[in-house]
Amino acid sequence: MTGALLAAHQIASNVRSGRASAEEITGRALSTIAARDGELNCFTTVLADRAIRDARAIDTRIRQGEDPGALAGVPVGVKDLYDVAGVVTLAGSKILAQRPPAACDAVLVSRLKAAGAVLLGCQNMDEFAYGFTTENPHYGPTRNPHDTARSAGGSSGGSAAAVAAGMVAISLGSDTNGSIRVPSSFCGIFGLKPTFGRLPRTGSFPFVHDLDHLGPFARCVRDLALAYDVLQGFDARDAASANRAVEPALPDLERGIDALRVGVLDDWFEYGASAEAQSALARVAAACGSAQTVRLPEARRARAAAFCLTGASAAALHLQHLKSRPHDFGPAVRDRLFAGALLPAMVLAQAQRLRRWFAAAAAQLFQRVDVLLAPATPVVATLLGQETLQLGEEQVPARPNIGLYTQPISFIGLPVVVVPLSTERKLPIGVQIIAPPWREATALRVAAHLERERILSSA
Amino acid sequence: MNDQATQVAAVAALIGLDIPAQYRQSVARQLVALQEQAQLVLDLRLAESTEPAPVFLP
Repeated sequence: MTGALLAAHQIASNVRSGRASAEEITGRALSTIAARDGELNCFTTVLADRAIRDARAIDTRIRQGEDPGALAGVPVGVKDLYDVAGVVTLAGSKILAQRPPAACDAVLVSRLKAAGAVLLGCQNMDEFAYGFTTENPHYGPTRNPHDTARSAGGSSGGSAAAVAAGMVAISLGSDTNGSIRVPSSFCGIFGLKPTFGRLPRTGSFPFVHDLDHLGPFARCVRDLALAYDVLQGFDARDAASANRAVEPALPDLERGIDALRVGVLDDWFEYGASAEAQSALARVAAACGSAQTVRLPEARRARAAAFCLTGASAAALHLQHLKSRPHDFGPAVRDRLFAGALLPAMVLAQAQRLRRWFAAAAAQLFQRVDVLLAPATPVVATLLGQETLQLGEEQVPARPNIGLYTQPISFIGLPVVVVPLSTERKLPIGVQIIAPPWREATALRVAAHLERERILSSA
Repeated sequence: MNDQATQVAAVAALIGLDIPAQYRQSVARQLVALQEQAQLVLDLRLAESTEPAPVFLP
């Protein structure tokens, strides 16, 4: 699946030691993009010349005895809602296409580059991040590298598929309701949605200010932790950015999980799960030595509250364009934004009260367990154009229900690592490892344990 | 235009939003779906002392 591109930590090690050049690695990654992106459609912009120039600069620094950083020469891509200097931030839309190019890089893009990463381009997504399938009406669908008739998941589908296809070693995505976790599951890679407020969003185009998280994708746990450590740090320009010290995850990765109490979420997180999702969850639970089943009460209503908050907040964000340029939105996004604009305010007030109540219930549960397990998606990657899903006995609309297990968790900002498993159909599916707020390192430790147990199957 | 689409147009007009006629029916379908979720939220009885989650930090 991944061609010749090594893991990010191996690339950086080779480049820093002079065993490989950043230019050669960048050239190889650009060749993979040239060979495969016509079919997969992961990128909206490829910055080939700039990437080669940046790679040469890294090689020059190494020849001069400098250390370019922990991601030296690592090819990366970012979802097309991150500002990249000199490139128009599209956020998957036609509406923003006439805006001027970004004047500077988003904070997280700057941090990747400061660590020596080489940015190859901007990646396809659902329009304004409002979707779970990356079937973009303006820039086309991103296809799943495991089966090109299927969706890569969304909304960060281009970012996930590019990692799965070996075009880049690390991508950055965003997750409001599941947009890192769903494509991780569909594409068979690792994804991290950190605690709300952990990674600053400065220089990224918002979807729902109150729910937006940014985070990385990678093909192994070490790479995910490496990227996460590079990305951490407070930024006062993001109102939600938490002023906390950097808490590196890499040093704890090999600690094992002996002392950890692991719970498997039941009730809402079982509802409609396919046999493949159940099997994946059971394998992860067994490898964690966990038989403890636990419940997060009212998760269905928490998901409903996230659903409503999303519709109304996104409508408020896009109201002026809804009024002046309704025809320039894709139909799925436009209709949901109009509907969100009509939602009574009392629903939002109640949703925010439910949010506090639900966060308290989760905190209580975390007194009994250290991490929670749940499926990332109820099914493997859906077919492009698929309208409905079978959830248990019910036939339901596909797009809103792909994220039914992810939405309650991001609603209260908990950190989650998604780990990939294989299925009999050779299509991947993901499991969520959910930790208490600010315990990303714990979730990553569990993921590293599962990787060592060899039950995971990354692209 | 069906009843729901007409109602959607009327409610939208009350808040100064003109939804083009060709979209009203599909907007009505989305609003019905949203309302189903909203009802789940509104049906939960929370203690009167339950405050909203913090959304503003001065």
